Amino acid sequence: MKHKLSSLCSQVVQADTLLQTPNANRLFIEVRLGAIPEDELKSYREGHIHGAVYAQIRDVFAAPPTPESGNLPLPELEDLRRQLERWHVDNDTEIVLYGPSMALAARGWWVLRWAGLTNVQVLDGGLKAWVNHGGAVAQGDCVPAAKSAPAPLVLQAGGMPSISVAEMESLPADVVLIDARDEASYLAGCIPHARNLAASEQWTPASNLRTVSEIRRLYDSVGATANADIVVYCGGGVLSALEVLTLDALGIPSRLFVGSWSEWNKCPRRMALSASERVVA
Amino acid sequence: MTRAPDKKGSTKVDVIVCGGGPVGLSMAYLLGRSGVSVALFERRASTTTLPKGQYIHASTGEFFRQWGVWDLLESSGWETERSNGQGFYVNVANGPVAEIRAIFGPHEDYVKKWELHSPVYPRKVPASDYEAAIRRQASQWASVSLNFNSRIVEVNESPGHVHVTVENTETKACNEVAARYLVACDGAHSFVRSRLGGGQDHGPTFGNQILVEFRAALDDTLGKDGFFHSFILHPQYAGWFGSKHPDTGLWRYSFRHDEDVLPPEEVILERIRGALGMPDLPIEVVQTYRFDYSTGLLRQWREGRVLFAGDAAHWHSPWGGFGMNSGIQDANNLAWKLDLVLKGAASDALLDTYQAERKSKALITVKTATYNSLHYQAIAEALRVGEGANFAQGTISPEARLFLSQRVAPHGDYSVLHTGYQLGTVYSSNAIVANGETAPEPELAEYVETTVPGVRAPHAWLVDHGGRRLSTIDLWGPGFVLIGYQADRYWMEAAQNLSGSLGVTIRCVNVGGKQEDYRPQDAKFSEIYAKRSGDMMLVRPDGFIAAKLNAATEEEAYNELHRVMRLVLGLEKSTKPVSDMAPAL
Repeated sequence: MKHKLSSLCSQVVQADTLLQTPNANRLFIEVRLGAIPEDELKSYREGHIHGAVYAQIRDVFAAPPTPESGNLPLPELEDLRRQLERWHVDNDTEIVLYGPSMALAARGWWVLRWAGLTNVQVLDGGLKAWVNHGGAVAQGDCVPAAKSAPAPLVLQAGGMPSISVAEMESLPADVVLIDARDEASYLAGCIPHARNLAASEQWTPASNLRTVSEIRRLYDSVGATANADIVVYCGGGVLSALEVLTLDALGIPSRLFVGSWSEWNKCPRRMALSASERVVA
Repeated sequence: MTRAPDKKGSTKVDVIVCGGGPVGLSMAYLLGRSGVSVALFERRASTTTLPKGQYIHASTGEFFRQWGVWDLLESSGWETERSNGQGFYVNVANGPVAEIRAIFGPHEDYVKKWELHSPVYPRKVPASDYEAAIRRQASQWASVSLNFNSRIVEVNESPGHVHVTVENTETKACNEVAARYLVACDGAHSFVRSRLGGGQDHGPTFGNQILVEFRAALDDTLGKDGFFHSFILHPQYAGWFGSKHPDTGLWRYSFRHDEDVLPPEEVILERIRGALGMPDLPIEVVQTYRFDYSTGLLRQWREGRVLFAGDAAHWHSPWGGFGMNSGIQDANNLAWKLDLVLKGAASDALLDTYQAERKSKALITVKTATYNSLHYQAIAEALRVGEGANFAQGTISPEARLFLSQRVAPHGDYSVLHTGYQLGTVYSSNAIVANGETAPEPELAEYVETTVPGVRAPHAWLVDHGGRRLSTIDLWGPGFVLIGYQADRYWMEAAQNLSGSLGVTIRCVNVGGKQEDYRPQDAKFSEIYAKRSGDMMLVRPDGFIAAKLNAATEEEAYNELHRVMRLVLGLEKSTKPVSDMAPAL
C-alpha cells in the first residue's frame, strides 16, 4: 500500500502486518495523557490490545516538570530503564506504541528512540485498526510475562536530535520553525517566526495517518523540505513528536524542541520576544 | 489424589475452581458428584445478595432437577402469575400499552405447555436463593471444599500442574494450592483471564445502569399487571421496574445515569414517581446499586491446564437472562470431561471439545444479548418520534400502539420466551459421532425435538416399576446412558462389558418391552427415540446425544458401542476431517 506512510519507513506499522508476523518478543504500549489519569487508566482497563501495557506519558515518557521546564521534560534515563525492565524489555524487543491519538504514541516513540532503542514503531490507526483487522483485545491489567533468559537492557540518550531553549532563543532566520498545535493556540501566542501546521491535520477522524501525498503537501505548504533545517515544537513535545515521525517517514530530518511552548513561556524575556516578533500567517 | 499438604507446604487437589458464583458452584457440585477432589475459592464472604440474574431457563431447570436443586427451590422465587413476561408503559398508572406474555392462563396451564418439552419450566428465582441451593448440594460431597473469603492473587503453570496463591480476605494470610486443572469461573472481570487469557473480542458497553430497591404500595397496580419487567417508554423516566421481590417485598427500578455520583434521593424519588405516574405515592428507597455491562468473548477457552467458563469466557448484557444459564451449561459440559480425563479414561483431547461445543453457543449468546439490548433501544427511540405531546398527556397515539405491539412480538421471542435458545442447542465436535443426519438449524424462538447426535436428548415421560413418573432427563449423568425402545438384551451386555474395560460407567436403559426398566407413559418416547426400529441413543453425562447406534447381533452391538465410545473419549481419531467436525472458532 504505497499511499501509506508505513510503506516508506519502519517507524510506522500497519495492524495487518503485525498480525501476519507474530513475534514472541513484541511489546505493545498504550500511551495515555488525558487530564484525569484515573479515567485514562479506567479506559485502558475496559479494553486494550491483548498484551499491551499502560503508559501514562507523565510517568513513563516524561520527568516531573520544574518551575523552569516545559510541562513534559524528558525522563531520567535510569527511570525509563527501570520501567522498561519491569515490562521485560530488552534491546531486541519489538516495541509497538499506540494510543487514543497518533501523537501520544509518537511521543512514546520519540522518547524510546532518543533513549537508544531502535526497534520501535507506531501502530497506524491504533486500537481501532487492530480490532478491525481481527486483533485480540483484553480487559483489566496486563502483567507481561518474564522471559526465561532475560537479556540486559542498555539505554543511551541522544538517539534523536533535539534542541534546547537556549538555542531556540537564537535560532537562525533560515530555520523552518513549525508549531504543531491547533490554530487557536498558535494565534494566542507562539515562538517568533513559527509557522503553524497542526499535527491533528495529519490523521483522519478514524485516527489513521493520512496518505503520503496528503502529508507531503502539508509540509510543502510551510516549506519543510528535505534540504531545510527544521525545528518542530508544540505545547509540551507530544503533537510535535508526531510531526518529527511523519517528517522522518518522508526522509526529512528535523529537531524536536521538547520543552516547547510550555517551557518557552516560563520566561518574561522570551514572552516579550514572542509579542514583538509576532508573525501571523 | 488427596487434599493434603505436600512437602513444599502447598495443598494438592484435582481441580481448583476459581469463583463461587452459580457457575463455579455448579462445577464443584458436578466434579464432587464424580468423586473428584475440588477446592473452590471465592473472594466474597458468601453467595450473592445482588438483586439480579433471576431467570432460570428450562434447560438449567433440568440440571437443577437432576441435582436436587429444583426441589430445594420449590417454595422460592416468583409465582408464574407474578413474573409473567414484559409490559410496556408510558407510565404505570395509565396501564400497559403493549405486552409480552409467557402464559395467558393459570400456572397449571404454563406447566402443561412446557411439559411437552421438559419436566420443568422457566422460572424466576432470586440468584441469592439458587446460589445458596447449589452451594448446599455441592457441600454434601466429601471431596469438595468450598472456601469463601478467599481471593486468588497469583496463578502459574508448571508441567503437570497449575498453582495458585490464595489470600484470606480477612486475615490476609496466603496459602499455596496446586491442582491438575483450574477452571476459571471468576466472572466478567476474571483475574485468571487477566493473567493467562490469550485475548478477547469485544462488543458494545452498556454502562451506568442504576438499580434502586424500594418499598411502596404497588400491589394493585404494577403487581396486578403481573409482569416480571415493566418498561417505561416516557423519555423523561425511561427505565424499567422489576416485580416485587418474593422475600423482601421490595420493588426495583432501573435507569441509566451517566454520572459517577449517584443522583440525590429526591431526584430518584421524583423519577420513580414520574415513571409510575403517581406523584404523591409514599416511597422508601432501601438500596441503590450501580451496574455496567460490557460485551466480550474470550478467544481461547483453554490455556494448558486452565479452562474458562461462564462470564470469564463470555460476558454480555443481561437481556435474555443468558449469563447464569449459559454459564451453568458450560459447567455441565466441562465437568464430565474433566472427570474422565483425570481418571485416565479419556484422552486430553476430550477437553478441547469443550470450546468447540460451548463457544459456538456463546457466539450466539453474546450476539443475541447485544441485539436484545440494542433492539429494545431501537424500538423505544422509534416509538418516541412525534409522540412528545402525547407523552406529556401520559399516552401514545394509536399508530404508536400498533407499531409497538408489532415490534415487541419478535422482541419477546428473542429476549423472554426463546424456547429454541434454551432447548435447541446443537453441538458439533469430536465428542459427537455424526451419522449423516442433520439437526434442525438452531433458532432462538422455536424448538424442534430430534435425536440427531449433538442435540440435547429430548424429554419424554416414563413410569418406573413402582408407578412413579419420571422424565428421560432424570436418567442422565453422572455416567453415560444407552437408551432405546424395546432394546435387545445384548445392548445391556455390551454396556456392562465396556463399562468395565473402558473405566466409564455406561448404563443401559430399556424402555418398553419384556425386560423394560421403565414403561413409556405415552407414545412420545417411541415417537422420538425409536423413529427407526432398534436404534439406541448414547447419551453423554451432560444429557446430550453422543451417537445413535444400531446393531443386528451381539457382536455387532459390542463393536459399535466400543467404536463410538472410543471416538467420544478421544481415544481414536475420528475418520471425519477435523475441519468438518469443529468449525474454526
